[in-house]
Amino acid sequence: MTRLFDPTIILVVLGAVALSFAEGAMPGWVVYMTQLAIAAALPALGCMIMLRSGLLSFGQGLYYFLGAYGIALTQDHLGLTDAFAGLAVGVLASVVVAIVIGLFLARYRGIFFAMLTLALSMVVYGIAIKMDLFGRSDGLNVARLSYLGLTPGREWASASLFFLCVWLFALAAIATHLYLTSRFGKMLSAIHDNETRVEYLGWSVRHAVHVNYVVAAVLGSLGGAVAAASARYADPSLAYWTTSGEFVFIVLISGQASVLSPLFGSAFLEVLRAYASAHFPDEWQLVLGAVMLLIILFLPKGLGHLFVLAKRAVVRPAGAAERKERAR
Amino acid sequence: MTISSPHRTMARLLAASALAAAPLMAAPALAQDAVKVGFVYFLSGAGAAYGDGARKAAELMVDALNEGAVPAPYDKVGINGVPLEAIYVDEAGGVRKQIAEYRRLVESEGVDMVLGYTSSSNCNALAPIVEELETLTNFFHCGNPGLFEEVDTDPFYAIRSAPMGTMDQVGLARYIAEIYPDAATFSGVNQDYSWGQDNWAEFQAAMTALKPDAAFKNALFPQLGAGDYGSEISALAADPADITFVSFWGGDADALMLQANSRGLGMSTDFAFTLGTGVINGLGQNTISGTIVGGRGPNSYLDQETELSTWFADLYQETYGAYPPLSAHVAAQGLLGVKAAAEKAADGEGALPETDAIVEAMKGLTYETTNGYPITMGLHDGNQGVSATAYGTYTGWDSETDMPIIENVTIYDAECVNPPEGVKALEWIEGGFEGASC
Repeated sequence: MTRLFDPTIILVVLGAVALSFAEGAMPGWVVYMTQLAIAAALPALGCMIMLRSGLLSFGQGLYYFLGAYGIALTQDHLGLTDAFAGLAVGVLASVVVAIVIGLFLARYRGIFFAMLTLALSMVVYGIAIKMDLFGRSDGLNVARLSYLGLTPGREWASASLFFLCVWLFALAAIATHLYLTSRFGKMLSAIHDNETRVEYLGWSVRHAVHVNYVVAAVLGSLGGAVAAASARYADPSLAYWTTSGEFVFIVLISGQASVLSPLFGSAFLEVLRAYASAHFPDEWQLVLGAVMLLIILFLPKGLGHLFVLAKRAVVRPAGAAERKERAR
Repeated sequence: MTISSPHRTMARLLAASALAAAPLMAAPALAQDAVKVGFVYFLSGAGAAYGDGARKAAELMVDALNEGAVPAPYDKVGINGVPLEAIYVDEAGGVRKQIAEYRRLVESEGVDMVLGYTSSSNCNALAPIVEELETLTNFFHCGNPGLFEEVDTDPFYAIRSAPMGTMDQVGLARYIAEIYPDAATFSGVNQDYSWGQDNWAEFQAAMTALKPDAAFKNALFPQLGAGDYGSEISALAADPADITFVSFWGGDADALMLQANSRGLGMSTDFAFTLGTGVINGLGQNTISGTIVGGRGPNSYLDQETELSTWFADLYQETYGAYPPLSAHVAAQGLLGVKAAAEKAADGEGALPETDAIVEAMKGLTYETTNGYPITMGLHDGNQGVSATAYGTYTGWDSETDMPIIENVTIYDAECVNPPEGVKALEWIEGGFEGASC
C-alpha cells in the first residue's frame, strides 16, 4: 500500500485534478491541443517501456491505429457511441494482435526488432488505404461519444471528453508506474543490461519482452482512442511510419526519467508546432527540425535532464562549499 | 538561442491562451477595421505544387481588393468596404494538426472566415468542427462528393464554392464521346488514394453510361508521390488503349508526362489529364501533343475572356511572371464568392454582415469568377457550387504569343456535368445522367 504514496503517483493525481478544474478556463483550442498531447503521450509511454529493455519500436502506430478504429468501427458497425465500448474494442484488438505478433517479434533485438515493427505497421497502413471498411485514405468521421448511456449536452460534450482523456492518462500513467517499479519492471532494465544473466537467473527473456510488448500495445491503443475521440476522426495515417517515429522522438526529447516524461515531451512538441505554425507558416517544419536538432545536440538525455541540471545548479554550489569547509 | 527559450515560448503561449479565452462569437455587424480571413493552402510537401499558385492568387486578390482595384462587380474595397487582413496557414502536417490549426484560427486569432483546404481528408475531418464552431468556412478546392453526401449532410457554415470533382470525369467522358467517337478502349493511371480511386470509378461509370461497349484495359494505381512510372508506362505500352485517363496532379503529373513522352507512349495512346493545364504550366512544350486537357474546371488555359478574367490573368502574369495555374483561379474564386455573398447580405457599406446572413445570401447565389464562367451555389441546399466546364486538346506551342495551342475546346453547361439536387454523384452517373440538360 505504501507504494501508492509514491511521489510520482501523487504528482499524477494532483496534475489530473488541476487539469480537470482548469478545463473551464481553457479556450477550446488549448483543450484540444492538450488532448492531442495526451493522445501522443500514451503510445510514447509504450515506446518508453520497451526502451527499458533496450528495444526500439517503430511500430507503435499500428496500435494507435487499432485504438482509433476501435472507436470509429464500434460506432459504424455496432452502433455504439459509448466511449468505454470503443476503448474496450480497441484494447481487445490490440491485445490479440500484439500477442500473435509478439510470438515471433520477441525473438528479435536491436535494428531487426525496430524494422519488423515498422514493416508490420506499414502493412496495415497499406491495407487500410485500400479498404472501404477503414474509409480508405479519406478516413472515417467519429460521432460524439456517450458515457455509459449518458450523452452529454453540447455545453458538456467537450468537458466530459477532456475529463475522460485526462483521467484515462492518469490511470494509465499510474498503472505503468506501478508496472515499472514492480519486480517484473525492474527485470526489464536488467534485460537491457545483461540478457544472458537474466536467463541464468531463471527468467525467460522472451516471455518478458512479449508481455512488455503487449502492455505497450495497450498503451498505444488507448492513445489512438483519445486521438480519434478528440479529432472526431480516424484515418490510416495513424499507422504510417512517421506517426510511429514521432512517438520515438517524443521519448528522445523528453528522456525516460518518469512516466510523466512522454506527456512532457508531447506537450512540448504540440506547443512548439502551434507556435511555429503561427509565426512561420512557410517555415514551421524548419523551425521544428532546428529545435529538435538543438535538443539532441545539447540535451542528449532529453528535456527531463533540464530538471536535473537545475537541481545541480542549486544543490552543488552549496555542497561544494561544504566540502571546502571540511577540507580545511 | 539559449536553452531556456522553449520555456519562455511556453510562458508566452500560456499568456496568449489566457487572453484568447475571450468569447469569440459570430462578429456582429459593427463597423470593423478589418475582415480577418484565414487562408489554408499546402505551403510545403507535395501539395505545395498546388498551394503555391493558390497562395499567390490569394495575396494578389487581397491586395487588389484592399486597393479597390478589382473590376466590377467586385470594385468595393475589401469586403463591403472593410479591408481584408490575411492569415496564412500550411495545410501540410496531417488531419489532427489541421484541426488544431483551424481551432487556433477561429478561437485564438478570431478570424471571421476560413477559406482553404485541398485534401479531401482534411475537409471531411473539419466539416463537423466547422458546424460546431459556427464559422463560415469555404472548402475552396476539395473535390470529393462525399463531403456533403455522407459526412456533413446538412451543411450550414461549411460551404464549397468549387464544383465537385465529378464534373471533371463527366465532362471528360462527354468530350471523348463527342470528339473521339472511335475511342473504344480505356486505361487509367491514378494515384493510389481516395482521390485517384474515386476519379477512376467515376470515369469508368461515366464512360460506360455514354458508350455501353467501352472496354477497360489497365487500371494502374501507383503510390502518391511515386515519381518513377517506368513499370506503369511499360504496362501501358504493352497493351495500349485508345485513351489513357489520368487524374494526377502536381509533380506526379509532370513526371508521368515527361517519362511517357521520352518513351514515345504518346504515339500509341491519347492521354487525357483531368488536370492537364497544370502539366502545361509545368512542362510547357514537353507536353505530349494530342493530350486531352482539363483544368479541374474551366480554369487556367481554358478560361473564357471577360473583363475580370483578362484583368486577373494579366495582373498575375505581371506579378509572378507566369500564366495563372488552375489553383490560382480556384483560390480567387473562393474569396470572390464570399465577397459577393457578404455584399448581397449587407445593408449599407462599411461593415461585415453577420455570418448567418452571409451564408443565407450565399445559398443559390450566382457570381462572376476569374475564369470567366460564373458559379451558381445550386446543390446541397445552396452550400455546393456548380459551374460549366471545358475540355480541349493540346496540339502544340504558339511561340509568338508564348501560349499553348488548345484545339476543339468544348464547353459543357453546369446542368450537363453536375448531378441535380438530391441525387448522389455516382448514382447519377450510373443511372445514365438523369435530369442532365446539355
